[in-house]
Amino acid sequence: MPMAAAATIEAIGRGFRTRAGRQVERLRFIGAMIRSAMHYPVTTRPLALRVILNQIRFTAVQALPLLTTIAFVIGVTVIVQAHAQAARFGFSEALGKILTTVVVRELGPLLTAIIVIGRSGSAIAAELATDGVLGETEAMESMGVDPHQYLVVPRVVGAAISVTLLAVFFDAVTLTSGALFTWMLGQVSIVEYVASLRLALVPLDLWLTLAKGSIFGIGIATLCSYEGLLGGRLPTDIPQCVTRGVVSSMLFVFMVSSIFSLILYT
Amino acid sequence: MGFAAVLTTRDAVHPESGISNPESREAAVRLLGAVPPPPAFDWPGPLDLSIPSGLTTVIWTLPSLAMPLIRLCVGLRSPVHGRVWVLGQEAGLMSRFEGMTFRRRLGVAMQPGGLISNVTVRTNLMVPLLYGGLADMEQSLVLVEEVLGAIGIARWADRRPADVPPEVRQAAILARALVRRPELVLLEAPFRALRTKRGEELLKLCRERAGTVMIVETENEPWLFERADTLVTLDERGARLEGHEVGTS
Repeated sequence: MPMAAAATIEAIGRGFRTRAGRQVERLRFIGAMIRSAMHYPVTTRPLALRVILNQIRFTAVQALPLLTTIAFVIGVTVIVQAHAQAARFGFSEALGKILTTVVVRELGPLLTAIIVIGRSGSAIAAELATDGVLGETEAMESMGVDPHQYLVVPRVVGAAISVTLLAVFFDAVTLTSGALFTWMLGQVSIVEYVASLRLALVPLDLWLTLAKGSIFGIGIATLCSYEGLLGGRLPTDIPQCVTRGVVSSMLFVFMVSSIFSLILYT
Repeated sequence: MGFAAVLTTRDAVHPESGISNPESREAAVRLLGAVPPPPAFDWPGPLDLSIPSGLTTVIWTLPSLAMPLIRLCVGLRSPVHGRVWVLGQEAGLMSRFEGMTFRRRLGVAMQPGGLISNVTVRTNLMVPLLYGGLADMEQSLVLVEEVLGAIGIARWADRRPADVPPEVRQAAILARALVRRPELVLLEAPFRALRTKRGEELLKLCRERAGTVMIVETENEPWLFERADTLVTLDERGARLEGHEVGTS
């Protein structure tokens, strides 16, 4: 029995050490990325701009149909439900406040981030892992080209801009679709709806959406790039890199979201 | 692999330098008791090797040794034992940024070629110039056009690597190594997929554009061995200087 207990403790310790080692590696990667960004060669601006614009096109523009659909459905579900419950329990005057809190501050950035992780985070991890398997990353290093500068920094900038813009767009579509459906169902008039929103929405809501959007974008692109770049050398490593990138990005997004909530509401 | 093949050893004088014995020259690359990190199958144990500067050295070796050898020389791997100097510096001991800056003095072409797949051949050649901070956009375009013309692949410049024939891809890999006029060129099986005549042309260009050329070859390429100033064979038993002869290209 003591032997079994010792083995269990040893296994726990080993697991903890491995995980701690991974976190240290991540921090090292982030440090190297920041340094690369600070030493970005001026001569690369046209090429870097092209990568950033491509990233925005893929992450933001091409995601618009999916994002609009999801935002529309969420708007219908959340806002129609909220209105129905508000009318039933008699707290219609607090409706605007509830909607801004739930949709604008929380759901908008969070769901946008989840969509971006699924579409673009996984693509970033897969692309960089494939670059590694094809020897492109190593070839860059051998030429004295910093892979962080060429591959990571433009993607992080592009993702940060994209998620921020998409989060604002998501909020707008959700609130609009909610207004449309509450009006169609005849629960609340458009004038009342807009009035309650205008009372509830404050500049802080917009700043929060922008801050969360940019932090989520930076986090998703960084974590997925990390998993992709340091992924492995075999084609069979690519799916694992993608999975790790998606999972770590999800964890990051939910943790940051809860930290924001703790700071704002406690 | 046929290391039993007869390789001529001729004492001859290099036409430009007048130096007959490559070992007497300053070493561009020097390995002293070097052992690469695993995996390094067939590595012969602590290895001493000297690549003279100003000459073309061909190392005929096993595929399993070519990969760790060239990565040790480029400084992408640090030896677990011994030391490696490249152009008088220990690249394996440098920090990430120092190593990156140092490698801008080298021209490297390894297997697999590692051309960036989602940009054109032209952009592939511009990347080391721009990201090395060596030229702005206009200057790099001029330099790239020059080397594309010299290598004879200018008409493929606007295509992506996947859209060009294998020999053009191989030539583009070489062009990228030469575009910065490096002090030392390190090439791994660089003439694979090329006809002999084409290989000879490109070898000549490598010699013209770089001071020192080190080629790690895994195939039996008699024409290449004949044109090497120094020929070294490396296998699981160690490295041997098989011959040092004048480049005849």
